[in-house]
Amino acid sequence: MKLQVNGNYIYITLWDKQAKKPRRFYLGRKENFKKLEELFRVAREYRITKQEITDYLEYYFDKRINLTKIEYVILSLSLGVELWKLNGNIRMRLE
Amino acid sequence: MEIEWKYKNAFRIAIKEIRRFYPEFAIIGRFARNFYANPETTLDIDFIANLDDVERLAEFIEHISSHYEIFPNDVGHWQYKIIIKGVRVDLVKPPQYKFDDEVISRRRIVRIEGVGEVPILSPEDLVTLYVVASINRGVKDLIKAKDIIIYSLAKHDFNEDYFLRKCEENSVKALCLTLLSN
Repeated sequence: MKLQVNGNYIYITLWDKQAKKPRRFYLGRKENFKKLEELFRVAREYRITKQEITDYLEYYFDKRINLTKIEYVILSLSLGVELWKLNGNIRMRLE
Repeated sequence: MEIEWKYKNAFRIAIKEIRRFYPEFAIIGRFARNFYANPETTLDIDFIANLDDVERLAEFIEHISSHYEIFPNDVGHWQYKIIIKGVRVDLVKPPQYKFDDEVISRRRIVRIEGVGEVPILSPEDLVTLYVVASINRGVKDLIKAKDIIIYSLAKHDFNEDYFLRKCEENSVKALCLTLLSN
């Protein structure tokens, strides 16, 4: 899978699952080539291990609501803000 | 637990105030992501709403600024930051993202004790929003998008056809197809 440059514009050809045929997509101007190349690389290569998924389903997942257990979602906020404050950020900043 | 109560109280107030002016709102960002994937710490709660109506926005800002800090405190922006009981709440309407009636109708409603009913963007729409954001903000948002896809597929809770249609509508289908490719 390669980005294609034609004149000042970038394209990519991919298999379109819905149309069931290859399709050429316009992506933007060639000034953004590096940024787009990085996005497509990460989109293709980023992975999560099977163990991480198993751990999530075993410990964090609530089958009754088909979502993460609510207590962990709330904890992710309270822990995040409290740790941030402990790191010297006394007052919440608006900037 | 006192700390949990403090955050739930701020969350409850934020929802009450935003719902009063924007009943179509939904939770987005990392806080929403955490409902669908392995939770990560977050510093704020992000809300999306239709901020295009200037009169409604002006009334909202006037009301909120009389009780809480809000920045900026005038109309014409797509992102507002509000501090409620020490918790930062962001209210946004990213200009490149189509927050339409179909997206609103597919919100997931979660009932949280001490907070009430909380609408969250569906996993498909949240991923689409992250992909749209990644075009300007970079790979961090794309990683969050793929996290949601992977964990949702593991739970058999991800509608690929709907997702790709919304990606097409938001002009990011090529990236979305690549996210689904392995």
